[in-house]
Amino acid sequence: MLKTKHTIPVFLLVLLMMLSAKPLFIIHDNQIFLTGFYDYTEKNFGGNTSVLMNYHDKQSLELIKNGFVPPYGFGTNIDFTENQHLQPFSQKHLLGTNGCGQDFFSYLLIATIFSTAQAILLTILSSIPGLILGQYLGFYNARLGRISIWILESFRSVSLAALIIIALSTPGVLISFLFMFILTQWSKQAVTIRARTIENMSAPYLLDAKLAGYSDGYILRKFILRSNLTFLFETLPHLILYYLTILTNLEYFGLSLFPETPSLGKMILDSQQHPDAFYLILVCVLCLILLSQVILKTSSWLQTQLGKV
Amino acid sequence: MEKSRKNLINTIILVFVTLLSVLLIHAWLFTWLPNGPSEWAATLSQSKLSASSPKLYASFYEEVLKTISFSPSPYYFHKSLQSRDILLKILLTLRLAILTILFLYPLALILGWQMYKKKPLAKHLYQMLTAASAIPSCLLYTLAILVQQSVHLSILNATAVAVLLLVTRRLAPLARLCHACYTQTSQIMFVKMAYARHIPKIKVFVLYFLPRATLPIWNKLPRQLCQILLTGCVPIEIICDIDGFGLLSYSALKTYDYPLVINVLCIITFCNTLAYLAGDYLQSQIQKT
Repeated sequence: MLKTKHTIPVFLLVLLMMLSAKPLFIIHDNQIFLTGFYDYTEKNFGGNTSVLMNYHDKQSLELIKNGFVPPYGFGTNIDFTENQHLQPFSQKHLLGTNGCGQDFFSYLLIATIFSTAQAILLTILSSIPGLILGQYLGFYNARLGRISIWILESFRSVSLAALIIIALSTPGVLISFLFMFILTQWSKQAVTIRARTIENMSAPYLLDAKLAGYSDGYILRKFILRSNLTFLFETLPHLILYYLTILTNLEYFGLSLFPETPSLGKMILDSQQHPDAFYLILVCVLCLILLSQVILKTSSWLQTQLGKV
Repeated sequence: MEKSRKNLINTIILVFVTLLSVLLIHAWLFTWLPNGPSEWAATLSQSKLSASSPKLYASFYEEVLKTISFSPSPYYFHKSLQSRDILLKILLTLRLAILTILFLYPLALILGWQMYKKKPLAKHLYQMLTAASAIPSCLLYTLAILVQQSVHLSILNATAVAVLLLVTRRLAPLARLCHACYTQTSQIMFVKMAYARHIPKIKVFVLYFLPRATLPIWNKLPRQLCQILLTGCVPIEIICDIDGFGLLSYSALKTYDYPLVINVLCIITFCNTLAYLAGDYLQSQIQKT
């Protein structure tokens, strides 16, 4: 039986092959062509022209029909071999094609990866400063008191949707969004971390550490950070899912930070026009359910690893 | 007595300063908009761009800008008929949000407790609910369109379906928080000591365990209510055809009515700030008791 650690590389390889719009390699005339990494022309495969190989074009494929070509996907490439767009489910296009003629299956995989990566990035950008600053505000609560509440409440009120709408009106969309996001969204995590730090300050082991003469920095790093990290990992999967759903909803309404990049919101919007729209939406639901389970399991695994440390 | 009066004055000052800071931060954020804040305020109050633009927040925002430029003049929220319309829509959604909270909190406390007791059924239920919370609203909406162009329900059924959907989507995170709080409270020394002193279990649970464990959960109550009221209801109201604040926000986004979108966002921000402050106040009061 294969163990999980053996199946993961196989799974990742299959995923990489399906995401790529061209085969990773081709064996032709006893030669290996690394097509996934380098561009080749038709001449390289015995053709007459110096045109770049199109691995979805019938004429180009004729040249390599005697060689070994591993399976590959469509990526975000448009399938020009099809006469009409919005194709129904078929063996060639498992989930059909969208209005532009892109393969929906490849699009879904790429969109899931991009949307999840965006959600994870936003979670990291809000959680790490939130954890550090929340700890300090909680630890020095006696000194800072009301000032810390004032700072937190002021920044906490800014909603993510407002930031995206405002950032989209500015010339440098991404930079202005990231600047505003980092400046304001840390406070949402910091509030919980601060409350927990204040609660933990009266714990016997912290009083003991203080009396033993440990420095504030040492106590924060060795005792409070650990307790807060455990709590953060408890809420982490839901925070990722929260950002994922918000970004998906906004992209559905056309408010996207990356207008050219595939995303789940755009896919849901496109799928309404599809002949098999109902089944396509069900696939999206299934994909998100699986994604939530993966995030949940990964978070539990991280928590277990942290517990071991 | 003197001390409590001083505390009250300090709290009032803090609330006032915080609200002012929130408005200043938003005024600063709006300066990023192409035409600058003053033109936006003028557009919002005159409603030139939009037929549906409410003057509720526009007048308030205009007033803030005037205050910043040191030319204050008295204004109030109820400026036009449109403002009253929005308030009526908020009231309709508020009823939905309160009903949701009434079901959500007891269910989350029970599910969290069952998870703390390591019941396998609770674990599976939690996983299913997490999966439900991962489905974005737009997906639910699209599914509803495809199943039946719009779901026509009687008012009573629509409310019941809306509450069910809202509870399902919000139960998992709250149950997880309850579970984390129960687990941490069970490790606290005075709870262990109470069990060791053979105090009846029910008494320890009600008097020692539950008030301490549910502290962060009550802190979240106003915020949850606000979230459900202002953003959570959007897809549910569309699906169930309830003419509330959520449907208004959706129509603003769908018709690219940006003045209305900004107004809605401002109302959301204002209510969120009040909810956060209320949550903190609630927590401090529970801690005192």
